[in-house]
Amino acid sequence: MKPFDHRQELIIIFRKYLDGTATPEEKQFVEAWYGSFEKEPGILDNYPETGQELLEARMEQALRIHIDNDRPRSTWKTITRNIRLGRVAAAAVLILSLAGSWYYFTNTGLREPAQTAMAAGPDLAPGGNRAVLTLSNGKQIVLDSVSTGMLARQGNTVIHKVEDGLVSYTGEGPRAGQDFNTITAPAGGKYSVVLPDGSRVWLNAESSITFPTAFSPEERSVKISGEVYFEIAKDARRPFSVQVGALQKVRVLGTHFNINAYRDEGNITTTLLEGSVEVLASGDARPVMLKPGEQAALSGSGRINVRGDINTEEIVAWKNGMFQFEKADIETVMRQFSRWYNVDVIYEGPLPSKTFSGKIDRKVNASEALDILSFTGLNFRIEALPAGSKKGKIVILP
Amino acid sequence: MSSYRTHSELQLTALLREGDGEAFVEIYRRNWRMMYNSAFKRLRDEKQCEDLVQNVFTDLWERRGEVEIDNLSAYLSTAVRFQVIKHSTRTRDASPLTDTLESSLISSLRSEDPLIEKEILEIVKLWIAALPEKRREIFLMHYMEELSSSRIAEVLGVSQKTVQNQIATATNSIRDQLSKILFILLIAAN
Repeated sequence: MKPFDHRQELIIIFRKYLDGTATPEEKQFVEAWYGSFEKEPGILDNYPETGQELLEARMEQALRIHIDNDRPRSTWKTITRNIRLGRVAAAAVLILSLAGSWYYFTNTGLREPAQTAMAAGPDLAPGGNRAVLTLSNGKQIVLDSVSTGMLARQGNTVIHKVEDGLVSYTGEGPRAGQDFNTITAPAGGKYSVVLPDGSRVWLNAESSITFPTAFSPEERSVKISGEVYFEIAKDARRPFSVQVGALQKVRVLGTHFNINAYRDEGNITTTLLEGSVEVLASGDARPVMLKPGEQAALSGSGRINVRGDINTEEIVAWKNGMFQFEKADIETVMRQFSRWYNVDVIYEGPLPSKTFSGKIDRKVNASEALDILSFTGLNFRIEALPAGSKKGKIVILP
Repeated sequence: MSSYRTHSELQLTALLREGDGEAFVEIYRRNWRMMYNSAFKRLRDEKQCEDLVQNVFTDLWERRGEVEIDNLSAYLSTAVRFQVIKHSTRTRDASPLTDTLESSLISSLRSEDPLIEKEILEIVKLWIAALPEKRREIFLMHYMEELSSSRIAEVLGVSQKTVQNQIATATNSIRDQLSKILFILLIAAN
């Protein structure tokens, strides 16, 4: 007697089921057979709660990476839609300057970037909400991988992860702060913090802030590195001050301002949007008072230069999820890219002399951000990450 | 992000169509357990279930603008079913879905649980109906052989002799019912 292979017969019927050619009887059987397993116990009931959470987090992370990589297409759609709606057309349109001559990319000029070119080479995902919190006892919490909710208690102060990208310190007690916490956003990271006094700060990539878990009754003092945007809660009895390395101190009452203190940017620039601040350089006895729209640039030699009429929107574009440039040279642009995409930038041959003006969404992959610049004739190459390396490489070609 | 927790399934589906990544993640969080369990019941392989759940979701994300979804959990259940079946047709690995049909049919012959009997009987009927004619004959002969090699052979032996009697005295016993069905089908197939 011929043997009857159940498995083989099943697979034949399964294939027909999948490609839609199954007869009603076959379909009915497949669904009944599949359904007969429903009464089996679910595996997850046997998992401890933490095991389920880990599995959930692991799969979620993989999915987030997938949708982040998939972003450029949807971002382009968003830009095009905005233009069609005519909403602040100038803001959405990319304005690129080529050695002083301006090109306006209008609706018809915007097109989907060549998908083949993007798909062909290696690419680098944009930065996102990533940061590490260091508690006073030295314990570190990776903020992007913990779920929302209470993270820790420091004295009377409770630390919550409010949502993706935001932690808050609440319940500031009477005890003056000897406990200091530090929040550090790595390259390719950003984060926002509500400080114990209700002031809010935004950290750009490669930036940090150190602050007491409870401010003293006399003053509020924090230290920063990198680039931080501040919205200080008004409290006339407790002036707020920001220490930037050993070089500069900013005294404020209640105000909105941005400090850019990246080492590779040369100057430490403090830009005021609202209120008033005093900038003090160590060694320079005379503090400089800023008015909204003004920027103080502290040079390495300790001199403070003040410029007025600053485009503050450009300065804080990073906080609003954009790159924004105004006649910026290639190195200025690439310094921002290197921090956000966590890459080293190499120049092969002479530096391109073009300047760049315009806006690019920080959610796009490195390849697309560079594609946008390449409309001006910029040539580049993205190199694959060498095994074991976490940092990518962008090569600017002559 | 946390505000999506209170969104209805319908709201999330609409946001997903707009390309809202956080709505997508919320849909994932609400449904992955059901999907993972469902796949595991048929595949019994944790790694494969993890891949499968992720495949269903990446596929959902890629087709977010195209698919019309009125009932999200039903859509996801169906997607899991397709993926499980697809996986079963490709893999050489053993999985309950492909490898337990024969043994459940055989063991059913010895079952004393009326509920299981009823369900398996239904599967047997559908299986016989789904098989192409030639295959069906072979299956029936194979099955008869199994039957005859078990204690049930006696029952079948009796029924072969006295079909009328058998039909008249048919009980809820799967053995009796099966013998009846098989016998009639075998006659019909010839």
